[in-house]
Amino acid sequence: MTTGTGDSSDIETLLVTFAPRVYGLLFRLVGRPDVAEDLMQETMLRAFRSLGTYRPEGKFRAWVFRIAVNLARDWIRRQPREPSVSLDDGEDPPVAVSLRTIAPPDASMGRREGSKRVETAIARLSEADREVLLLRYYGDLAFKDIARTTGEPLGTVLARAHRALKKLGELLPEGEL
Amino acid sequence: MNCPNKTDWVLYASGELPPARRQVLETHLAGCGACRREAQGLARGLAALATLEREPAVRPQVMETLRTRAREATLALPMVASLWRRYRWVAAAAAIVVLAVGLAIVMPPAAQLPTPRPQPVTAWVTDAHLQEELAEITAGIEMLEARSNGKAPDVAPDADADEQLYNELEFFFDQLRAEVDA
Repeated sequence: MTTGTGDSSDIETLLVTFAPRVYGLLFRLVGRPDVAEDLMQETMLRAFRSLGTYRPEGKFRAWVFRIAVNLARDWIRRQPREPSVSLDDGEDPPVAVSLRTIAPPDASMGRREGSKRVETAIARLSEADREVLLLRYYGDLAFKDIARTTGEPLGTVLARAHRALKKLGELLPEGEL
Repeated sequence: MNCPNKTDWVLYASGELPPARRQVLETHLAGCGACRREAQGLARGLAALATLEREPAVRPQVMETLRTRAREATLALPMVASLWRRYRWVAAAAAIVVLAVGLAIVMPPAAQLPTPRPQPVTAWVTDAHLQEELAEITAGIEMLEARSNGKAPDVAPDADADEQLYNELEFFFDQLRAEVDA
């Protein structure tokens, strides 16, 4: 990527490269397409404003996704507290309900999603575990970069990934994938 | 048998292990059913994750709005840089004068000791009008900088507003410079 000059080709490259994945990450984190759109725009604008000082050797991608995660965290923190939901009581947590009941802005959002159980399983993860998993998937970040992005030790990030992947694996037996 | 740490299996399943370490784990897998199940469980988790749409389509109108806002945001950058260059000059001038005034107060010339100390040199730093100007310039620059750094999320980027603010600040600069020169 030839970012650094802030010209229009940089903008288009960044948009095409990052916007869909940042949107996907944010949609899975906040569970609302309208909010995910707003936060994605804010994420991208903050990245654009820093193009002039971007150093190619830096982890620009990790930095963009860190902005997105921080914005999502701020938004989630501002929401009224929901009653806590046990993972074992059969009830869907708010994010799971939201992901299932609110239509995404484009039908392709769910086109390739083979199982609603995947969405629900991911939405049932703790916020921190979900962040790690989604940063790995949408950000395509190595775990050491996720550790820098979330500000947690690598061991903690790997433990979160382990717990989250085990839960997904258990909820979705091999035969159903 | 000493089984590898569970986090090693996360790195293994994700393909992030160095080749030598990967080889060690694969050798272990061949003789350890528990670790095989562990690795397979993690791989199933990754496979489940991969069923999510990785690059969901963003509404075209959102992308178009974003393009417009991005162009505006990047256009504002040179203005902020220019402003900072000029602000440094004013800040340096102000610092020199404040230092000079301070020295004049702490160490007045011996010749002036017997008579009341004249005050004109301190007039401009104590002048309320100039202080207001400096405060406005500082606030304006901080706002432009915050917006350019994305630290003012509550303020929607607006190239016209930025340009207007820039012009106002330029006016303040010129006014301040004229008064300092005088």
